[in-house]
Amino acid sequence: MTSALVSITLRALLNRRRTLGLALLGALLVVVAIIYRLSDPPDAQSLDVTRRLLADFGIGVLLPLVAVIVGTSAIGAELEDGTIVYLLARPVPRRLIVLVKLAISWLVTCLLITPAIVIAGLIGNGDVELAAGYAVASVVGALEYTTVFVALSLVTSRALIVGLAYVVVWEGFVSALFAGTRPISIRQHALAWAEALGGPGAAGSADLEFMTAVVIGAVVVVAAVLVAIRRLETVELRGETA
Amino acid sequence: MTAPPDAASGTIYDIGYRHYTGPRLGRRGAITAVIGSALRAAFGLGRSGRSKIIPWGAVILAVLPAFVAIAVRVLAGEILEVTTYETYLWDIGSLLPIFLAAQAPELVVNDIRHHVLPLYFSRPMSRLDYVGAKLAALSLAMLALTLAPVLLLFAGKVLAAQDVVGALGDEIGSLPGIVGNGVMHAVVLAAIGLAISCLAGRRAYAAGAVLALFLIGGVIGAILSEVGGTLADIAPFTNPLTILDGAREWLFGGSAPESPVGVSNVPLPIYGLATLLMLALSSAILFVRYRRITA
Repeated sequence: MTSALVSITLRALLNRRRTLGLALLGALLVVVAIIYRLSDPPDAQSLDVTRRLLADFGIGVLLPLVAVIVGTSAIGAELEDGTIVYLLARPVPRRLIVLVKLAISWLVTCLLITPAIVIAGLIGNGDVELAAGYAVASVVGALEYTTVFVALSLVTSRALIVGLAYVVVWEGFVSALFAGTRPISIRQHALAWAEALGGPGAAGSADLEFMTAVVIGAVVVVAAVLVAIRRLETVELRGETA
Repeated sequence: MTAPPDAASGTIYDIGYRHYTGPRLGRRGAITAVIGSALRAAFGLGRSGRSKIIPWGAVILAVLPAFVAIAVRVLAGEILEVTTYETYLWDIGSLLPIFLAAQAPELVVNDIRHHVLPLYFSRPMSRLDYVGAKLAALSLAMLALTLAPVLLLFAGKVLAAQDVVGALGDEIGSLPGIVGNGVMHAVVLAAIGLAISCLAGRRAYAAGAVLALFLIGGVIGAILSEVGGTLADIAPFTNPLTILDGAREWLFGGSAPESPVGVSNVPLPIYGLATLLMLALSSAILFVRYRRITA
């Protein structure tokens, strides 16, 4: 049953024109890195520009955009279309449904983002440590973003809009102005991982202590998973689907 | 029972429904009605409080700098200039995509999604009229962000002066620039927003696509403009807002210090050309989409 769950989720998330669009966004990151490389930049500058490319574009825009679309549609689309009842009616623990959906959307987000970040990082500067640091950051960030957005899709039916608003208004606008809000910004959590693991080239990526980011990030992930499980466990199957 | 006033109206079966005898407003009436309802939708009027948060929040945040600037001027005099007519729209730049992404899909997506376009097109209204009406309504709505705050700043500057008539004489010269720039931003952004939205299947995806365009364009532009050289020259053209800022500088002068336009060596008329190109491309997308749509 778990394998069936895995395969329907994978097919729902990958067999769409949308996935192609999201993959193209990742390709755009690589294209910008190539264009930059073709301009034959000095080495000292290229490290800094590559870091900004990976941080501002990769982690700052691509990752949340892909995660919000993948994460909110993993369970959200089934809730909207009403097909969730066919899953809930099966003798599978609901927390298993949530966990599988979470794992798959995390995997899909990583597949769409991490290769682009690694390739763009290697093309932009060739500093393997920087690329590796940002790759790990994208994987960790993807986990946190997708769990939050999956939980969000179980809380509200307009999860995509709310998620986009969080990304643009909170992470883009508020946390740029008010430094005190940065500990609760997922982007900063991911950047802290990049700074910790990306070697000297990644210095100055984040405005957050690594340990703070790890602790708050872990709390957010666990809380989001618990909320998601709780919400799905309290969905009631009615005799007739509305 | 009275006979129907127009004998020709019940042709095959007259099953006794009363006929409409009021004035028929025709094409113009239909267009005005669509503009009116779209304007109400753009500001969430007649809808729940939740759908008013983003449009009105954006409008309030857009007007805020003008209020602060006027307050500073009244309290501190002319020593400190908080914001100017030229840089105002660049300063509030991140609000424009948010408003656009939230409200452009509101106007067009559900009409397509729920297949109600035949109801519009069965009125004396062509497909082009419908697109034009939506574009006009969203442009008018955008003026609340692109024109109203700057006009407020203008009025504040004039009225705060000791010599109102003299101040009016000083400031009136910038009025054409204020209005022209506001209208240009509003129309071009509205066209871009509608063109993207009409291709999307759901409002949320349309909002995401509009935001993605401005977010990605803005980030790439900011990074490239710091690289310098040829890349800094092309940097402004990754973001519609920067292109508009360049066109504004070409038409009305005055540069925004943080805009990538400043570090680019591209001649300013190119921005005007690029602006026209964006408008033409968006209109073409809208035109083709609505001509082909099997409603």
